[in-house]
Amino acid sequence: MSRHVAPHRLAGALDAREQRHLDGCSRCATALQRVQTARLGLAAAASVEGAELSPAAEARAEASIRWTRIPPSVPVRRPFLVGLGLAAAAAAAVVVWNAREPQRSAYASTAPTPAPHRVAAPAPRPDRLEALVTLIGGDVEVARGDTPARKLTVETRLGAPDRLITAGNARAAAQWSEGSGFLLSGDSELLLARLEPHTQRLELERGQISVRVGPHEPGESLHVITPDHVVSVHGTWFTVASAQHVTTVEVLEGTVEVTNRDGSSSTMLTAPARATFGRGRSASTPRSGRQAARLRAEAEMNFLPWPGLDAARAASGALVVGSQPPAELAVDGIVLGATPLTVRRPLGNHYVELTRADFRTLHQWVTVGREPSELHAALVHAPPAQETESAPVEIESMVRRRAAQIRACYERRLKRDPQLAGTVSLRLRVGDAGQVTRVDVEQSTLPDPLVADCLRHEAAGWSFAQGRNATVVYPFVFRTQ
Amino acid sequence: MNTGKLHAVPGSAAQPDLIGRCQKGEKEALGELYRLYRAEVARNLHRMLGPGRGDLEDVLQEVFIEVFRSIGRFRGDAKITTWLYRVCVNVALQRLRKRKRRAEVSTDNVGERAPDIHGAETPERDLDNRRRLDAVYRILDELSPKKRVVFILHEIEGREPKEIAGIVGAPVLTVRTRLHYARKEFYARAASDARLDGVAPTREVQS
Repeated sequence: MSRHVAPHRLAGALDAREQRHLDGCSRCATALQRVQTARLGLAAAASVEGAELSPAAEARAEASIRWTRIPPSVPVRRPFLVGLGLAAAAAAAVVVWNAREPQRSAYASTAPTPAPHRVAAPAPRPDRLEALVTLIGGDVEVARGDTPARKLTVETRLGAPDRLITAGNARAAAQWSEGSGFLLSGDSELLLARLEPHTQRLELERGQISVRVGPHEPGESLHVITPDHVVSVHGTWFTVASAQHVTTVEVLEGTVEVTNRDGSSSTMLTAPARATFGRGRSASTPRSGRQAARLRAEAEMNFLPWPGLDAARAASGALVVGSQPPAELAVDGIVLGATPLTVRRPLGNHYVELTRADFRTLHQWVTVGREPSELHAALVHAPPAQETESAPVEIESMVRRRAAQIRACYERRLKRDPQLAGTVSLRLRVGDAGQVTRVDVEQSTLPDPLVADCLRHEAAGWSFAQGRNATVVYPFVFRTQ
Repeated sequence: MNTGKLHAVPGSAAQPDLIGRCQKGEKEALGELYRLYRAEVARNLHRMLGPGRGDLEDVLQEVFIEVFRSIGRFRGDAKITTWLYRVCVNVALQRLRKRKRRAEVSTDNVGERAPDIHGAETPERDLDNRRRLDAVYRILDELSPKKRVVFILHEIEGREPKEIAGIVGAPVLTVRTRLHYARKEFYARAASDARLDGVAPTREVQS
C-alpha cells in the first residue's frame, strides 16, 4: 500500500511524484475519482437549504410551547429528551400502584391535570378512541361525569372521561388498539382523562394499573399520572410503583422519562434498570432479564387481534368461567387470573385450564360464540402425591426433552404467518413396549394444519419407560412472545 | 458557500428583551424564538443527520423543547445563536448515538424528503447531487458520532477548530486530532466505496 497514494492525500493537492504515480496506476485513479465525487457530495451538503417543515411540525412546536414551563434553577440530571416521536414501535407496559391517600387522590378528581412540562403532544385530532373490555373479574363499576355508576360488562365501550372503580380482588382489562390497553387491579380507581389516537392520559387515583402500549406513531404519547410523577411512554416497556411519595420504576425495554409533577427534575432510564425517586433522592440498580420476563408475565391483559373496535367486537365473544373452589384460569396457555372471570376471546375453540394446588387440573375445550359461553366447574381434590405418579408427568418430561423439535414445528410456520397462535391437542396411544403406536390430532385451533402434522410425526417416534398400554391426550399451546 | 451558521434573523435585534421574556416563561416569546430560528436549526440538523430521514421533525422538536427547558439557565455568556447551535449539536449527537446503537442504516430512497440544493438547475444534475449527497452520508454514517460532528462542522460548515471546540465542549487539540482521523477515515472509505462510481464527478455544484 505504501507504493500507492493514501486516500486522504487524494483529497488535497498532489505533488509531482504522486501525479506520476496516478498516471500509471488505475487503482489510485479510481480512488481519486471516488474521492472527488465525495468532495462534490460534501459541497452539495453545504448547499442544502434545509427540508420543508410539515404543518404537523408546526402544530407540535405550538404544543411544546403551550406545555412548556420554564423550570427553576435546579440541575436537571439528564437534559436531553429521548424518545419524542419515536418511529420505532415497541410494546410498552406500565404498572402503577398508589397507596390510598385521600388527600392525594383528591387531586386528580378536582384539579385540572397540569400537563407534564414536556409533552410530546402532536397535532390534536378530533376523533376519540373507544376501548373494548377484554376481561372482568369481580365487581367493576363504570361512571361518566355525574351519571350514576353502572356495572361494567364485556359489552361496555369505554372512552374518556369514564371512571372505573374496582372492588377488592376485582380486575378489569380493556384494549383500545393493537397491543395497547390496560389492566386495572382490585380496589382501584382510574379516570380515562384522554383517549385519543395520538394521546392517551390515564389518571390513577388509587390502586394499581398495568398499561401496555403497542406500536407507536411518531409523536404519539401516553402518560400515566400519579399524584407525584408523570410517567411518559414512548415505545418502551416498564413498570412504575408509587407509594408514600416514593416512585419505583422498572424499565423492561427501551427508555423511559420520569418527571416530577412540579417539573423540577426529569430523569431518563434505559432498560434494564430499576430506580426509585422520592424525598429528594434517587437510586438505581440494574435488573436481570428474568426479572423483566416475570414482570411482563404479570401484566397479561388478554389482548385481541385489533382490526378496529367494531371488527374486534364482531370477531370475539364472551367466555364466563367460574369454579368451585376458585382456581387460576389459563386460556390457550395464557394465565389470566383467578376465577370467576369473564374474558373476551376470538370466536372458535379455546383450551381452558383451571389450576389450583391440591386439586386436579381441569383441561377443557370450550367454544366461544356470539352468545356468551359459560363454564362452571367443580374441581376434584387430589393430593399432590397422586399427581406426581400420573402419566402426564411422564409425558411432560418427554415434552421438555423434545422441546426444541416441538418448537421448530411451530417456528417454521411462524415465519409464514407471524400471527400464528393456538393450541393443538394430540391423542397418543402407547403400546406394550412403551412405544407410541398411534398419534391423532384430537383438536387444533391453529389455522395452519402443517404444525399439527409436524407434531404428529414428531410424537410418533416417542417411547416411554412408563405408561404402557395407555391413551393420553396432551395439549400443546403455541403463541408468540 | 453557505457556512451553516445560525444567523441573526432580521427583526431579532430589535427585540433585545426576547431572551428575558423567554426566561420569564412568556409563551408568546417562546413562540417568537421558535419562529425566528426554526429554519436555521432545521437546516443545521439536516446537515448533521443527513437526507432521507424521517426523524428530522422529531429532532427539531427535541431541540426546541430542550431550548425552552434550558433557556432559564442561559446566562448570556455566548451569543444566543452559538448557544442554540450547541443545543442543536448535542441533540444531534444523541440521536446519532441512538442510531449507532440500533445499527440503523440509511434509507435507499434517494431524494426522499430531499432538500433544495443550490446550483442544480436540471433534473439530471439535481439527481446526481442527491446521489452524491446520499453516498456521502452513507459514509458519514460509518464514522463515530463524535468524528462525524467535527467533520461536518469543519468540512461542510467551514467552521474553524477553535469554534468547533466551543460548540462540542472539547479542547482545540482534541478537535484537531478528531478532525484528522475523521478526514483520514472518511476519504479512505470514499476511495474504496464503489457506490461513488455510479455518480460522475461533475463540477456544476461548486459554482
